[in-house]
Amino acid sequence: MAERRVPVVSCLVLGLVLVCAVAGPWFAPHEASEIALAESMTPPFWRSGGSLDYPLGTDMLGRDILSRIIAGARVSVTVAVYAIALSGGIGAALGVSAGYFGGMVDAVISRLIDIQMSIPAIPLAMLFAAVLPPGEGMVITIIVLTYWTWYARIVRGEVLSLRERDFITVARVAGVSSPMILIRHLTPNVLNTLLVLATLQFGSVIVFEAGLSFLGLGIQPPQVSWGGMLADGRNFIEVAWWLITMPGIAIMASCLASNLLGDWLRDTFDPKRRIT
Amino acid sequence: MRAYLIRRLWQGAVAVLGALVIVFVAQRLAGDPVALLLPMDASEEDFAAMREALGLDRPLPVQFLVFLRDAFTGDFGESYQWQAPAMTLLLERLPATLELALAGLAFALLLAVPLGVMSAVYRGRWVDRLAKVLALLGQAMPGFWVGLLLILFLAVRLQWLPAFGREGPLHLVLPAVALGWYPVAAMTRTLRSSMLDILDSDYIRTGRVMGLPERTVIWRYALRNAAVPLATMIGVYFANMLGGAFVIEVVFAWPGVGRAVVDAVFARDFPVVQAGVLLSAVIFVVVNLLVDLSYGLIDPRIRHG
Repeated sequence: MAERRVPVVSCLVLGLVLVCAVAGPWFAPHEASEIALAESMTPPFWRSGGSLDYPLGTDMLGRDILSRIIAGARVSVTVAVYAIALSGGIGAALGVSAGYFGGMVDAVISRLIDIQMSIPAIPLAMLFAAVLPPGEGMVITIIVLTYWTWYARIVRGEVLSLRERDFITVARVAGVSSPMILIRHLTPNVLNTLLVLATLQFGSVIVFEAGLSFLGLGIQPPQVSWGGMLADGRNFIEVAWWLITMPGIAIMASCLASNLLGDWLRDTFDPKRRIT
Repeated sequence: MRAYLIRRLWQGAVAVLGALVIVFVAQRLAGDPVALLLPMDASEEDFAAMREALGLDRPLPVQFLVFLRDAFTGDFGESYQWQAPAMTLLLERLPATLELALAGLAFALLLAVPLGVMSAVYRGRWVDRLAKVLALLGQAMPGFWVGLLLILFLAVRLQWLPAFGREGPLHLVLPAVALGWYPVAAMTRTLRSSMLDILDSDYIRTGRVMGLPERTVIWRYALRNAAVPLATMIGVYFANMLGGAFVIEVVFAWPGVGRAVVDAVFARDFPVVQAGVLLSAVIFVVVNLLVDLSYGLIDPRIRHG
């Protein structure tokens, strides 16, 4: 089947985003916040008036769009890495405990999940945005609070079915302690699921962060973020189309790539889902 | 059914209570409200008097109970910005948000139903591929960016449709498309897979053998059953759209609840933010409850299950 090929393009796109995040400042053509008023609102190079000095054009302050997109990658990736590690870690730990111990532990954790899921994510984000000091920390906190249920619910379900399997029963009968069963026998079996969820979450976190920053509630200037660039560009939508298209393409490409890679990983780990 | 109803009502109540706890805790984290209300040079005595007047000198559990009592009567205090009861302010804006969410839902269904049916019927053909591409883009293009692009192309360039404000049905089109954009992918895929299952079933084969026109078989007999899983998703998506409207309303300057809450966050107008979060949570819980209860109406098999 054609779809079984490794998604090379997705890997390249994600690789590029990661390279920009790690080494961006070394190869970006300009300083992200370098202001050049004489060059303001330069269109991308293929339009008349554009130049290769500013391949994707400049904004109202003459700042280079390409360099800013590269700088924005660092913020997006930083937020995504912390948010995924924390929400995945917390969610998986709670999910494994709920699934394995059952009873009261499960009841409490499941109710928490229910409560969290019955509050729509964006209004909840507003609540925390009103309370916490703005910036990367706030964005990460909000994302973790929104996404931990995702991991907890799915991991809980997996552990519930794993628990009944023979190898766990055998381990228990053989006198292996509960923490040991959790760490040595259950966790490795949900790692694939976690990897798939984390890959899919990457795209989702980038969109979420961009949304918050677009509203002005997330990453604050002078830090550069793709969502913030869109918010700046919005005021000049009638004169400079590149201000709102370029950062959006960066968001879309990273999200698309991580979704495709996530789908591919899921199908690879779980051949049953390949049909349909 | 009765036991189920009671359990669902109980779960809904717990969820709303949970939301209340979160809002209350967040309010405490927000810092001392007295400092916001009093002038900079207020004395210690002024602070103490204000605290007493607001009931902040009482133990936390008591404060929480007072908060609950007020919340049940819809009293979240006065908006700092507009000097009016926070909940009343938001309820005045609710019709605009509901209108937008309903229009978004209508757009999503208008696109997802034909696309889902066609991609099942013509599985593997170009319609199916188009649906797949749309589904991928739907997830990767955030609604607010779609909104900006719509403004750029349809309002600024072509000047076909108005971009900002709420003045008539035409003003509804672009925000509805931007809001309805996201769920199209999931709806199409759900309908496609249930349609594929059903097109394979005996009663459809019987219909075909009886010589019913293919159109009747697909759109009347197959779709009716295939739509059940989609119908159960509609409520969830509607509830989510009310949340998603927060961002879309800002993009299109739509005078709804979401925009008021976002403004309130900037102004640190806490009563309005609290009222907004609770209003969304209550609507979310109620809509989901209604959806669960309507399963039986949509699909009689569940009533006996």
